[in-house]
Amino acid sequence: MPTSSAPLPTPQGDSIVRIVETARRMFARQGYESTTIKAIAEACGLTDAAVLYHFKSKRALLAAVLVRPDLPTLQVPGHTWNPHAVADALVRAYCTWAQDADSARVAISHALTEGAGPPFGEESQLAFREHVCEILRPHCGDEAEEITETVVALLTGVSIDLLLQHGHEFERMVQQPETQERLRELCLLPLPPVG
Amino acid sequence: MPLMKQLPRQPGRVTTRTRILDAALELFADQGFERTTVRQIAGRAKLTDAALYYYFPSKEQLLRSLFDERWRFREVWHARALEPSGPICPEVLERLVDRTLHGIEENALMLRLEARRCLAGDEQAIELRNQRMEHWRAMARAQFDDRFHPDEAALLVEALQAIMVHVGLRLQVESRDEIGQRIADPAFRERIYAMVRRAVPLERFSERYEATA
Repeated sequence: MPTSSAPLPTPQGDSIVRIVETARRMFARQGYESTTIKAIAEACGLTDAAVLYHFKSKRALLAAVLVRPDLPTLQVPGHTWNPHAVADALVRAYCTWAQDADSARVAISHALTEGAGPPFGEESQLAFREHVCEILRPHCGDEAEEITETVVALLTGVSIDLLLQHGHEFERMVQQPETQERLRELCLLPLPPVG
Repeated sequence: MPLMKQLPRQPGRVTTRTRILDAALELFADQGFERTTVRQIAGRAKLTDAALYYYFPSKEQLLRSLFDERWRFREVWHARALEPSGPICPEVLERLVDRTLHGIEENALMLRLEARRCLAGDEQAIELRNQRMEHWRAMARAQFDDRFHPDEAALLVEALQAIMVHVGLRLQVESRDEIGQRIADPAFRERIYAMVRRAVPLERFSERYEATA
């Protein structure tokens, strides 16, 4: 069998993942400024030198943290237009992403300091947007792009709101049935009704 | 006005104190509370560290004074400021959007500081933000209440809020010190209006309500 290029299975790849995950949590919970390489290393059971071997600076580590996981693909059943099915799929995808919002916390703080631009990079969001747009295009034609922009703005707006209002409780809030029901109602607003 | 009560009596000190608060707000908002030193604030206010400590015994005290004294949303978003407008229509929605954008512009630094402190779990910041949002929602609700079922009015206001929160953060991140120019651009505002028309589809709801009323 050819060796896999994925970093996960090797011991070294393992510690890279562990360092990034630990840094993500610490940057999100106590702030980038207040987190030192030394503290991250200690939390991983490593030496500073071991961390610096993989990431030459805290800044480099931040860049790794800000590479966001791709948003999940939407599963929309059927070919006829059913806004409820689309809203369901949107909220399911969203809630999968929202199980861990630490990247979003770090990204917002970072963007407030340094403005838009690369590490804030929205590649994964752009891919998600394009994906939603493809689903809408056969049913919404020219309006698909604007509707997509609106749906994404609604979900982002609610996320920012919940993150700022509930802080570390955000993940728990999003998994509650009432929150998900509300998200579905909001997503339905910009989607054209049946008929 | 709470601002007046907090000011020291001597007029000479008013300006120094205000200058310190201005400097602290700019630095806290732009680079964050943790990263800002008292020395930087003093430098920007053209004072020595010792002189600054005379007015504010700690950096924390400066932060609290900013939240206590620089919170001006009540005035900006006061419901009375929006004339009684009759039934809600796209134009009224646009005015709500404009008013919100102006509030964001006028308070850009405080909002940036507020967002940072909320993310850091600062209880006073979270509490002030909740008050502000509640106040904003009350202002918006006043425009919807006559025409819609209360549950529908609440949903539509929530949608409008989500769009404006999203727009607010984008403005903070992308435009920073040029928010005024950006929101003065008719093309930019038209994009926001278009999103709001879609997120708050008035016709769909009002028809339903009038049919059942």
